[in-house]
Amino acid sequence: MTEAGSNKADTGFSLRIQQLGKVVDTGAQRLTILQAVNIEIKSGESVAIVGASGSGKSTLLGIMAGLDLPTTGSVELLGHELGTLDEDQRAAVRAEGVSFVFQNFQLLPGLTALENVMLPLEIRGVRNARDEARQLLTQVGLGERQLHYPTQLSGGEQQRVAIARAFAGKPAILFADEPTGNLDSKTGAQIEDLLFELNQAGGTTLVLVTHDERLAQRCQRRVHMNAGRLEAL
Amino acid sequence: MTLYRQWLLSLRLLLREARSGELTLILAALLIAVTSTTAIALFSARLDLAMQSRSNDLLGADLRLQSTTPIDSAWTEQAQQLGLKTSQTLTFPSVVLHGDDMSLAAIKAVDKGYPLRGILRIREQAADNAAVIAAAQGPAAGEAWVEPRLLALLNAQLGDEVELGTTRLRLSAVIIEESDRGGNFYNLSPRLMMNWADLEASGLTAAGSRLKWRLLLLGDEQALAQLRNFRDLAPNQTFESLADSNQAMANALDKARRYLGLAAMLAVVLASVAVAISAQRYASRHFDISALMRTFGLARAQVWNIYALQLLQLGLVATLAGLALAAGLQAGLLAVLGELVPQPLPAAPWSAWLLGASSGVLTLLGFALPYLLPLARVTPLRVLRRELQPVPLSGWLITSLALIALTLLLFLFTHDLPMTLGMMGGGSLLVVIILLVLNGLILHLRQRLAQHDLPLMWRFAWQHLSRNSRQSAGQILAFALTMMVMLVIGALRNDLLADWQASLPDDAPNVFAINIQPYEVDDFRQSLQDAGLESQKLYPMVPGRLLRINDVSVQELAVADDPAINRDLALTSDQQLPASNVIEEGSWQRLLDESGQVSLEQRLAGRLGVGLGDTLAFSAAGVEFSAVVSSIRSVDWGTMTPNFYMMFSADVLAQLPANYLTSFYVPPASQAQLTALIRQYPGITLLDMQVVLGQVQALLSQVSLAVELILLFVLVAALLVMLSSLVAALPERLREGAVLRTLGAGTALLRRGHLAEFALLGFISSLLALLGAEAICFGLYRGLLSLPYDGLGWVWLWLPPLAAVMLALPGMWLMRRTVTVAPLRVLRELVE
Ligand SMILES: Nc1ncnc2c1ncn2[C@@H]1O[C@H](COP(=O)(O)OP(=O)(O)OP(=O)(O)O)[C@@H](O)[C@H]1O
Ligand SMILES: [Mg+2]
Repeated sequence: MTEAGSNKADTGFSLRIQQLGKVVDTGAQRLTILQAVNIEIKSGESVAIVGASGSGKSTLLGIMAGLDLPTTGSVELLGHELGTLDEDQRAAVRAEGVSFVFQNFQLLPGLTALENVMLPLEIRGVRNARDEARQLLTQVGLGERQLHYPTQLSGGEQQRVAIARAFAGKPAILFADEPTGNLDSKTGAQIEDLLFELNQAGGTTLVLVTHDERLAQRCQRRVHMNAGRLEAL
Repeated sequence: MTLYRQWLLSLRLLLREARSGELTLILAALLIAVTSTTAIALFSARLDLAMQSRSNDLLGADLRLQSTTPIDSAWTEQAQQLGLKTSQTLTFPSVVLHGDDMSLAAIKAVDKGYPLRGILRIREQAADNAAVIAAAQGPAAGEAWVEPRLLALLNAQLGDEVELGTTRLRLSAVIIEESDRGGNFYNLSPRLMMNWADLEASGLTAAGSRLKWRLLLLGDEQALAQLRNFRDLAPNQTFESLADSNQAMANALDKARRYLGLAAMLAVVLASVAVAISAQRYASRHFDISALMRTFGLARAQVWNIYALQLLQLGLVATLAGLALAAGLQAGLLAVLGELVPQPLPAAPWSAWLLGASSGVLTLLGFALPYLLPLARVTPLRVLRRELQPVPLSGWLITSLALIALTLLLFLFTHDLPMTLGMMGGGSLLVVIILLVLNGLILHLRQRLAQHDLPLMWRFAWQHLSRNSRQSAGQILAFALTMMVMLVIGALRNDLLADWQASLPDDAPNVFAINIQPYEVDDFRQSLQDAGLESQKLYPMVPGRLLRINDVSVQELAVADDPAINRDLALTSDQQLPASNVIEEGSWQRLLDESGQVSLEQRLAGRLGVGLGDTLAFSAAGVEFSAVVSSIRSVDWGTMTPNFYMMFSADVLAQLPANYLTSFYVPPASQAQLTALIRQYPGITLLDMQVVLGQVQALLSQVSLAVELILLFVLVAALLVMLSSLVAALPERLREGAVLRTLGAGTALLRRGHLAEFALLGFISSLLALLGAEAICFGLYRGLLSLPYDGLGWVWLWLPPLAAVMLALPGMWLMRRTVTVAPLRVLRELVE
């Protein structure tokens, strides 16, 4: 029932993973990080990946997004079979509709909030990048802070800029690695609201890694990572 | 994404970064590199062009016969028979009087054939805007043309009469251009041009030293070749063709240019280091954005294009700005050098601009590119795992690229491969050795000091300096080297002549009298006595050349290039060993007892490899003779008394037509007596050393000022090296400052720590510079010039604090945030 192949196929799924495994060589020993992972995520769905620290969540997220390759198994992202693509072709898939929000990896310190949001739009060649970025910043409540540099913003504000940036260009799928990890629970809640608002407004698929139980609960589906294996909850 | 869009993006990013100050240092460093090299390239190219375009005019002829004695009229007749055009000139130094003012001038008497070829341009009114006329002939009889400089020295105006020997000449024009004037760099005295017909009346034609007769010849090559074979030349005569004269000129200019070029290269090396440090930091700060751009969907090649385009644009901006600045700097150089450079200079060719611009490109390629290359290889996975860094290029690769770039640049500048390789090899070796020693010293000191309890601020300062001991060693070297060179040049410029003059006794002779004819000797001695002027002995003097050493022609010996071989030496004889001479080998007595003996000056003997018992053959006044070396003398040249390389037994000089020379002291109050003497003995050349020294001093000042102008850029480049390494260490410094402050350290303490650190850096560098400069000056004074040396004196007091302030001000300014920003803020920024 899988349609393997590099041609784009509209299957109604944003992401399909089969029998995925990841083994790394750490010089002396071979470390199995992921093992026999299977998951299918429909377009527009929101999925939370939870699990203990070191269980392999971030590794899985990276592979799902095409930032890294699995050792075994297949990943089909937005209809592309990633295993058959080289790095630059995978980059092209990302350009088409993938974006990210991270715990620590936030904004470029040399650019203002506005410029940070504009950057992916400019890279994708969007015409009125500036207007669109302004609009997004207003949407996340930072209309007044557009010209501030990241260091002039609080952690929550920075994360909101990051979310505005992630939604710039209306991605088909958004990967977030502990988006609220560094925030207090009130600010965290605001960020969550924002994520789901934008998810619903644009029909963006959400894949979140989180330790935050409340955030996980708000997702349509939760999966549990346990020592490299995925278990549905 | 099209290339155009990549370019737009790279430009946008670049502008944003520029605004945040990220690029300032890299730009400044590039600017320094481009500016200093371009300025020198322009300057040299223009000089070259001036030389080339006028090489035909430089001789003022196709061929020139030069002689230190009057040229037999048979030459002229033969030349005219062969259909050649001829003209004669005579040049010599002499004193020109205008009322009570006097000046030494380079006199040139020209006949009616002059100028044969070349450019002679004059103004008949002194005003700067007066019309410039191309003269078809030299000054008319009774008239003289002078360089504007001489008017000023004599307080004279056009239309005034000046005295030259026994005649009076009316100043009728100023000389704007005289293409066959000869190497301007070494011509100190201003020109006075007169008519050949006035020579006789001036009484200046008697034979003597420092006179040069020239027969200028113009015509077809065959006739010229025939004339060359007309007769054998006397040893004091030479043919000069274009090639020879160009060579001499090129050599002279080359020297001046090489110093400037070296200074510029020093600026480039330092600027390149600053570029490398800044580029490394730039790259490591852009790993994140590269990774991010990849997650946004950019391919590796596209990321690479964006950085390459950025680099290109950065280089372009720096190069354009550098070229503009260089035009200014080069104009400054020309202004400083003034009349030493041939006027007017042609515009610089585009190749010089290109050469200057290439220094920017090469610096970027050799020093920035190696650090930026890995940027394209950042994996996008870095957004999830921060620790993932691209593998940097290997250290060897980076070093080789840098060395290749520098070598290429140096070669472009010198066109001299052996010298380039020598300098790169020797230079890098020297630098590495000095760095190792400095580094070792710092590490050693660190161990020693670790056992002592220094005050806290000094401990902070010392910790910073010694922790990056290699980096500190590099900075110290850069500052010390630059300051040292500036000190040495400054010392030579200001003190050399002053020190020498001060070392002379108050009544040391200050006037040399040369070309005293034998029949005048008694009268002149009497006149000096009558005027109350006490003179040294009058020595007979014959200009002569060394031909052979032990029957081997000097031209075939290794010493053929020695300056003493290629010019006339002053040959003399006397019963008594001069006061400032000491016999080192052999005996003086043999000179008195035996015939055919010569006593040789020690250093010349050493250079020529001549010892006691060797036989030397000479030619003087058309006579060839030889003498056996019977003693070797050391001579104190700095005494202003007549001194000689060669002193013969009386029999040798007796066969030669000598004229006499002496020196004497004229007290300031007796200037009138000197003027009277000049009028009384027009044929005797009186050289007022005060004036000659003044002219040397002026020349020295101009040239060293030009070099120091470039050195200023070197200093700025050294400062940029320090600043860029400070900026690179800023995050670490911020964290440290924040941690210290959370531990309760006050801002005042931190500030004092920074002050101590940079002041210490400046202090150590300046001390090293002073030590080096003292050593070099000592060597120069005592070794080369045999002058007493009494140190740099006050400089020891003012330079260290000045250097400390010079480094502390920008250093503390850069570090200001580590002291003032809220610690919490710093710690949070760094967590990211
Ligand atoms: N390239 C690699 N080389 C060696 N070990 C790796 C590599 N990548 C991941 N690991 C290891 O695999 C394990 C899983 O890492 P991962 O970052 O996916 O965990 P995680 O579930 O995201 O943990 P956390 O909740 O702490 O972020 C860890 O033990 C990590 O050290
Ligand atoms: Mg993780």
